Amino acid sequence: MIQRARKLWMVVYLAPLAFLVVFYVYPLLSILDLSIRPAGAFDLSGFVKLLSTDYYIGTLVFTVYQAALSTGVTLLLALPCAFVFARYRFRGKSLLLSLATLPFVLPTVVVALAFAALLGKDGLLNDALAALFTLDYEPIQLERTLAIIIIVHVFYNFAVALRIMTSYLSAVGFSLEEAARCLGADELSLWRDIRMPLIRPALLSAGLLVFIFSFTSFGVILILGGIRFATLEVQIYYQAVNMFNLPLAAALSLVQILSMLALMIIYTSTQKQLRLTLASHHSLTKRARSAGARLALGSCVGLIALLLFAPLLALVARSVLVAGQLDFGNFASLAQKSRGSLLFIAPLASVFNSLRFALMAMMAALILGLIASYLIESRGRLSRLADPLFMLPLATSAVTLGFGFIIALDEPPLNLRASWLIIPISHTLVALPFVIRSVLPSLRAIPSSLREAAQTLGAKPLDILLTIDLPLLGRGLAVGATFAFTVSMGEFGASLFVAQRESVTIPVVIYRLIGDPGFASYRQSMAMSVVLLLVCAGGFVLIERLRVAGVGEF
Amino acid sequence: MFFRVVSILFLIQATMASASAQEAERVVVLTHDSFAISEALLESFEAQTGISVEILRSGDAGQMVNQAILSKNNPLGDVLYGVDNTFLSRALDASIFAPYQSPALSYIANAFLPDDSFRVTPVDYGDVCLNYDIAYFEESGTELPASLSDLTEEAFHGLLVAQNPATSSPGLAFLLATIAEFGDEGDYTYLDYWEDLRANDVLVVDGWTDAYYGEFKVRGRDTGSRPMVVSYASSPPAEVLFSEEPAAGAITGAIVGDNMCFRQVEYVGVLAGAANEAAARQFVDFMLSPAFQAELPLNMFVFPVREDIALPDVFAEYALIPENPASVDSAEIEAKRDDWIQAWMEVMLR
Amino acid sequence: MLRIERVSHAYGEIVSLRDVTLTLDEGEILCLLGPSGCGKTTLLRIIAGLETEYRGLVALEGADIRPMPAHQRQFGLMFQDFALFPHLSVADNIAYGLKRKGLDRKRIGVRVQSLLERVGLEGLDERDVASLSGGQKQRVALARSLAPNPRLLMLDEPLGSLDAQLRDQLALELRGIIKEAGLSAIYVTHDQREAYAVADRLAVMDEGSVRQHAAPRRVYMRPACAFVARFLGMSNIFATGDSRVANLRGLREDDAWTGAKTFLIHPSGMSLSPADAELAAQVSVILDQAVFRGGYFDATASTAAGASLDFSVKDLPVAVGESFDLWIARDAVMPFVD
Repeated sequence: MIQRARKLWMVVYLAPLAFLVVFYVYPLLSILDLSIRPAGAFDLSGFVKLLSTDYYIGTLVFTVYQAALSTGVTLLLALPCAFVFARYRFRGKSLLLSLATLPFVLPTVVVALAFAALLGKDGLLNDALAALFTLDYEPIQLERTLAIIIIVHVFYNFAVALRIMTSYLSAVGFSLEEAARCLGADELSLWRDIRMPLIRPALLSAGLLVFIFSFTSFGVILILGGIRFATLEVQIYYQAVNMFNLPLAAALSLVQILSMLALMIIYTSTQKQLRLTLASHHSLTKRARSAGARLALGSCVGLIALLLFAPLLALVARSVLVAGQLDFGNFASLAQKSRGSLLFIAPLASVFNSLRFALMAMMAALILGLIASYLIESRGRLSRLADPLFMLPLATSAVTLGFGFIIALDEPPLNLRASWLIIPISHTLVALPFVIRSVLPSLRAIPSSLREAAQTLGAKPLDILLTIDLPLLGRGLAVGATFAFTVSMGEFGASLFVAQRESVTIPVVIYRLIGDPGFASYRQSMAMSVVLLLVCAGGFVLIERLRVAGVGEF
Repeated sequence: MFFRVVSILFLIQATMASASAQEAERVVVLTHDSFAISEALLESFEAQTGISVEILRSGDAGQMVNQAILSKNNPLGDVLYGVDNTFLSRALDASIFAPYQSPALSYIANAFLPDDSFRVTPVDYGDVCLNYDIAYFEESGTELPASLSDLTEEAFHGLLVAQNPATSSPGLAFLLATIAEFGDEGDYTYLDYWEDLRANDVLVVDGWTDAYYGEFKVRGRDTGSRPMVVSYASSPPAEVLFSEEPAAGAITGAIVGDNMCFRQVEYVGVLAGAANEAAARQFVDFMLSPAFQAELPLNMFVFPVREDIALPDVFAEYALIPENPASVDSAEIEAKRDDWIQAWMEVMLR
Repeated sequence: MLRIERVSHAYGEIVSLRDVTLTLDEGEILCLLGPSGCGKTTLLRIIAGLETEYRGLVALEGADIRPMPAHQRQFGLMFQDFALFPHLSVADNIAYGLKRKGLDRKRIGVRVQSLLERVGLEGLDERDVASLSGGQKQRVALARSLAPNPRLLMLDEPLGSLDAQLRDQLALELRGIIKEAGLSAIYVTHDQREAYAVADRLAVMDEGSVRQHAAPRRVYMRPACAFVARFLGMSNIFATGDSRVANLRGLREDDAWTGAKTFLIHPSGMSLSPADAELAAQVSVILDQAVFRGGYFDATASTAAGASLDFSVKDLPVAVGESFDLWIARDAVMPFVD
């Protein structure tokens, strides 16, 4: 009986692996194949071209440059705030911190548009400044500049960096600092000898994460930068979709995959250093009483509020204000399907597509992610391999995935090219690492003695799963579900490749609307972005609330 | 609770799916984003044939062709319209079309046919050429350029906005015009020319919309700062048509001197493996019908390939057709397009 | 009722159990005593069915239970960290095993109440286990393992995380509860006082082996080896060749001394006056130190040869630094082979 149960477990364990092999490894191998054997024969001309052309080297250099710049600016802003936040408590701190993570789940198209609405040529700020100083030109010229790309990357990554560093600092506590103070350390040596060395692992970890996100940034650069600011990602897309140079796109993808792999390896090694006890030291925070402390705290809160709310409010304002008047016509037009539009379906129908795909991807990613987490935790021969393996999709850009899908999955037996299934599948793949990363800590936090106690109390393996593991994983699962859902809702890079006809998702629709000449489409894209913003925020809230109410009800 | 929400959503989905499953015969037209034709005309086609028409736009002409090639095992549509002579070879080489010889071909000049295989059928053409703001040139007294070379002169410093050929179809056409004029080898190639244009402060943007509505300055619009733009020979009638006071006469002009324009011919073809090939053929015939051809100028600002169609007044009055557009062999375009564009990007974008 | 025969177990290269043989009688409390890492927890886990990779036999009432999975054994196991289910209330923790047995709600409710009463936690049913004190957690864990009426109760360092003051009293209380329930139990601890208080029989373990398996008094009075003696805190252990103490162990050499490497002079076998028992030696010593423990003295004295002797006596009419004669009973001198 035990033998049979083991066999069954092996089959279950193999499900996520099989999924990964078919929908990740196989498409990637197809890319590799295409890059080194473009016409069926071994041919490295794609690589030769890549490595011998200044232009593509320039793309690579620029990718690294903008990522480094984004990382630097993000850390520079987040580091002081992390110290302030770890140090002081104030009312609404946790709300603010969780609100600050909102950008992380916001789709790139929405964010790009939000910044266009705020800082763009016809943006709110330009309008306001022009009206204020009666200018006949736009004082802020940020469209298609590196500056706006960096600003948006900071918007995206600020909260991530802030949270990593704040939680690390809170866990470390300030006792060392106080000890140093007692030993006569002045402010300068506190920074030099205590604070900076202490925060270094978190700084490194946050920095790498921001670097990785900026390195793979696609939608933001595609929409706000254009081809002049092409990163590897954008270049892959251009080469595949515009130039139809698939071997070159494949070669670029390979460079991308290898770079990301290297970055991920470095990142996971820094993660190990970060594994601190998660004991909370709330008692160590204090109220900001001195004027300096209040100023520091106020600046940080102000920075977050400005960074977070200004663009989103601008987006909402732009979508409902037409010539200074409140007008919901932009929204009403979303429900109409017209043949004159750029889309095969009414824009609003894409909301339904997105919701449907997001739910499917969420369910699939939850189930596969849960099994994969157990596999990783099983400490078997497979598990050592499984951990990095399941993180690979995170290290692979969505654009590369989408590209791999369309070149690999268009022949029997996996003829998914024309099927809508390809979208939830690609989203599942992208969401899977998020689910695993959310579930794994909860899973690891369950002491094995709990399961053993249940066992000695007569619980069968299935009982243990249902009565011990799942309830205790509730929070991790809910967090994973949130991630999967929002990641799927906002997924852009892969969808742009694979979404077809009736199955287009909200971000793809927004992108298509932006590209359409004419003011009406622009307004429609704003309205659509607001819809996506609301759907994402709504989904986020819904799952958060289900999580609170639902623990123990599985 | 959670699972209830999920199952309800799936239930809604299931009913929606079954509702959309009941379909009449339809033809899906794969086309580029600029496709436009009147709803009335499409409805008349639907009424006559009983075939419903769905339009599937897939980016610009290049993206559309690439999409069609990438999905040729599972065609996304039945008909592909909008592939032009700059991308035709790619489409033909990938064998995405099934041959169809429309009876209406007899109304079309043979010069429009790319070859004698009938894999694609010409529908319309247009010329990419320089447009200018008449007011600027009148007020400043600047002479219009008589050749592409003139654009490198001081008089045109900072006046022109062009498009990136990697991302824009008129951009590519204009690049091809410069290649036809200056060649890609020799002492002074098209790259040297662009280098000079760059020195003369030409502005390059990604798309036609950005260029025309964003950077091009014309009387009556408060956007943009440059009085010359790469656009179409048919843009001046469009400008008149859309201006707030159409009676005021020409606002912009097109420069159609010899070898200064590049002609784009757009084709339609039945996609190989189409779900509804018969309907697809009917749609091709429909695109060559007098009614459709007559609507082309005012909907897509292109010229019909049928010579027996009368042009609308505004076209007759304001549109110029170049007598000797530049031309580059379609096969040569296909062979060298990527290299040309890439070399161009290296000169212009770095 | 329980028989463990020649059980061996290893974690990879590290051998944790070596040919362990033990028995447990019906209604008996067996205490596994030993330093941490001696294999006692591993042995518990093997009995509970949580470890499956081992050699040897585990039999319950004569039947081999090796293939039986843990959840079918109906053995209660109380974990060192209590392993309370953090997502369940006190009552739900206790009811967990009852629910697995498929009992109806009403009977579960009654049983939970009576257990709460028995462990002295009335009224805490709905409390969150995280909010309990260490002692309360220990009681919930006990009640939980008692709830399904286990055939055998196992307790792994149940008082380990509590402070020393509480332990003595709680150990007795635990014994009372186990005996009242009429259970057979295996109790793991590293604390000899706790073991004396709880156990009917002791098994002293070291490095994966059972060194001595006997009643607590016997283990104390007649440790089987130098390890046991040392573990029980006895210090008068000398090498047989130690010339300083050659005169202390008496003249008679019998079989027990062949191969002996060390010997113990039991601290309770020394007195300040010749007792009835047969004497091994009489030695003149100087008192180094004496501590009154209430009812007896723990004292240290050194011989002229330089050997230091610890002993316990009821009365000590000498002051530190004074010299006196110490009488060593022959029984108190025990040769060991280790």
